[in-house]
Amino acid sequence: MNLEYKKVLYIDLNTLGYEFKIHEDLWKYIGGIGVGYKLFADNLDEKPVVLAAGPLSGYFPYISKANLLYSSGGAVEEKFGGGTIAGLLNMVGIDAIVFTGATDKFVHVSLFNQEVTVTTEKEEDFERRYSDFVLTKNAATSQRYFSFGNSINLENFFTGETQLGGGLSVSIDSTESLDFSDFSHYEELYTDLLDQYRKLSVEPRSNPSCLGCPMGCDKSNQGEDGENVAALPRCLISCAYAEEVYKSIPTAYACLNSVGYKYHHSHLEGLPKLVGELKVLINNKLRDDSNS
Amino acid sequence: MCVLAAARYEAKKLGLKDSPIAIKGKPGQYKIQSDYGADIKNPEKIVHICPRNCFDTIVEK
Repeated sequence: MNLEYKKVLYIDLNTLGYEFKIHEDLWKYIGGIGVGYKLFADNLDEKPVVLAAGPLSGYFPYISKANLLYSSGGAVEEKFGGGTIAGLLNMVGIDAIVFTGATDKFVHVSLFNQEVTVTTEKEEDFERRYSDFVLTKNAATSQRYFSFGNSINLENFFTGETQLGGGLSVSIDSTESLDFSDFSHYEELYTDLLDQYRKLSVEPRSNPSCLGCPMGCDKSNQGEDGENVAALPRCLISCAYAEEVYKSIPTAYACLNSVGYKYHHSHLEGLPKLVGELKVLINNKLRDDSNS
Repeated sequence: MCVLAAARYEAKKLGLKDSPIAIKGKPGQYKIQSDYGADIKNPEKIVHICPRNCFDTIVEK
């Protein structure tokens, strides 16, 4: 968790090189689709694939989703998936990963306390992995169970001639812990939000749960295709089915504040406009590119 | 949830690293691993937070 800036890992799949960048300018985008869209816009010429976590991922109940952005057919595609990837990314102190280039190989990215190892492996080894994030040209999952939705099309990203055509997996092995400034305030807030499970639009079940979520709902392995959710929950990134809980600015403000973020109400109020403008900018540019 | 709760109640930390318990495995086949030497002071809270009733409290007399 980075309180005053956003830390982004850039991985070039052509060279298997990587670098970290600190972005103070991304702070105002909070996280999730805000940070994701800005990174996508900044790297648009490289047709990136952006994976972003939220600033509270893993730290509050039902804030369990990661956001995947990529371009397809002259438009930006927005996917959301749960599992472990969002919480672990946030806890390891990485707000987003930007993948550029293309590959016909099976690439494994291992993160251990922000030490990065990028290797290639055989297809059979890739298929045996239950990594925190797994990407192929037609599917994105966490632990090969929690899906980012159907109709994923990354044909330009994985260019191999085998059926899969290449693949990418990300494993996170260790995370950092955060000291509380005010444990009782956090605990009170956490318990209150946990008790609001009746506001969710899914029922508790006994399926595997995303990190930090008690629901084990029937949707955890399906992604969030077709869900229209407000900008604030999408920046945090809460589960779409918990939109009722996290779309309130005072709730989001209290959560962010309780773990040390210094966002003001005005930052949260301005988010829909910021995100909307970025989305229009990206889609206009992608449309112009596909027409020319 | 139980790993995070254990870190909160036992170490007053937010994260997985300082938790006395860990979850290993893959969806549907998880195992709970507990530190042998850890003296868990708030077992009731950790037991209570698990929606699946994975835990039981054994009191030794």
